[in-house]
Amino acid sequence: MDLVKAARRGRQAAFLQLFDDHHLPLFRFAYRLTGSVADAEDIVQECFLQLLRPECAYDPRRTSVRTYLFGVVRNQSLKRLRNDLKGEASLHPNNEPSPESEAIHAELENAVARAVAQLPESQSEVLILAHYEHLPLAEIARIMALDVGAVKSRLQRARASLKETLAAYAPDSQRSLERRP
Amino acid sequence: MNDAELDELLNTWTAPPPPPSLRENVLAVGWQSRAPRPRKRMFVAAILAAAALLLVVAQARPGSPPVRIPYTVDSEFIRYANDGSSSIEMVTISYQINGAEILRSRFIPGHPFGTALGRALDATLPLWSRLMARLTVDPEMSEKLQRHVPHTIGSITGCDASCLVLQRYFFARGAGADSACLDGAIVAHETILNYPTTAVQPRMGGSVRMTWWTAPDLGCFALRVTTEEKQPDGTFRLVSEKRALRINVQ
Repeated sequence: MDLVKAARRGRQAAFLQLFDDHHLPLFRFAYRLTGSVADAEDIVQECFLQLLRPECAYDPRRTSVRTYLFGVVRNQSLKRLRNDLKGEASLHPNNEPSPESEAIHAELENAVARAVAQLPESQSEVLILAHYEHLPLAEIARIMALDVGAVKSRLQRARASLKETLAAYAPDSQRSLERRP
Repeated sequence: MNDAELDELLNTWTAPPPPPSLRENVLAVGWQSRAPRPRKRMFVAAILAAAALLLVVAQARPGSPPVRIPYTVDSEFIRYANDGSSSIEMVTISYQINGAEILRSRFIPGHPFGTALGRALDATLPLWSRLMARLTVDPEMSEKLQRHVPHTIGSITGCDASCLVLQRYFFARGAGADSACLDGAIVAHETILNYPTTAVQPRMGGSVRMTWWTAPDLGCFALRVTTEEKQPDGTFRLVSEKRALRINVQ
């Protein structure tokens, strides 16, 4: 019996197995999309609860549970981001520039986070799933309801855009940053 | 910047680990409130198993009598509708002992499951009543009730709408020299299935009138009972009837 079916039938061990297998990449994905640990926590929690609901649309014949869960996290994250934008909240908690006194690594990390957050939504999702979660393009296509070609072109555009945005932080430039007093 | 350099830069953006509270919250908030509970299921299964066992026991031992029974009476219970039509709602086999009618078995025509369930309830409800009486009635009151029992005559008069639960009435015994078993207005003397009976209407009040045809030779068994309801024009309409079909002398 598959884990989802067993969990829905009340087997806690199956539910915990599902959680342990999937929650880390889901949390990272949610965090990178929203930039908030609290939001990511809420989203992942909601994602697993959704799986247990009787009206849950998950169908093992159509998709894997990982793909379904990533899809739920994506939808929940985008919903939160849009609500935050309506309320004029910041897009990313780390988008304030770090003071020069902070570690170079922290500055780089913030710069990368800002650059990814500034990408168009559809490009940042593809980049995060492909680069950080190492998902195959075909699976990303299923999560985002796109064809593989569209995913590939969005990924290429995202990477091209990031190369421009982060040009100042390229390894040569980075070494010059490290030499700053 | 080449692809490898971009990947190196992208890798500087790390995600924090999820807080330990995440697992606890999913379990506490999610699982406990949303998942089906095995314990609840087990409880329901236990109830169903107990009910099934009760049905089997009730089927296997329909009213096993505690004493020697001199006779049994087969009775049918008829329900009369407003339009005058009638239907047999139940058939019983019973006998009378110490003024109370004891059910030996019964069946609901055309409803085998209802019959089985009704028998199970017949076996269970008296036990439940005794248990509740012990818990809720104080011993003094219980003793008074026990003293009152020999002065009453009881009879099964029908069943509820689903016919799962029996209806019983008890009235005071007759104390006069007219050989009537019940205290009340004597309305007729009649012989039913070769046994002389006296028809008595006990005092009830309200809009219901009952008439009991009791046979002194059968321990005051009610061979016929009619229940009538008062209509707006003051007349009475027959709503139900118990009628003896056969007397089986042992």
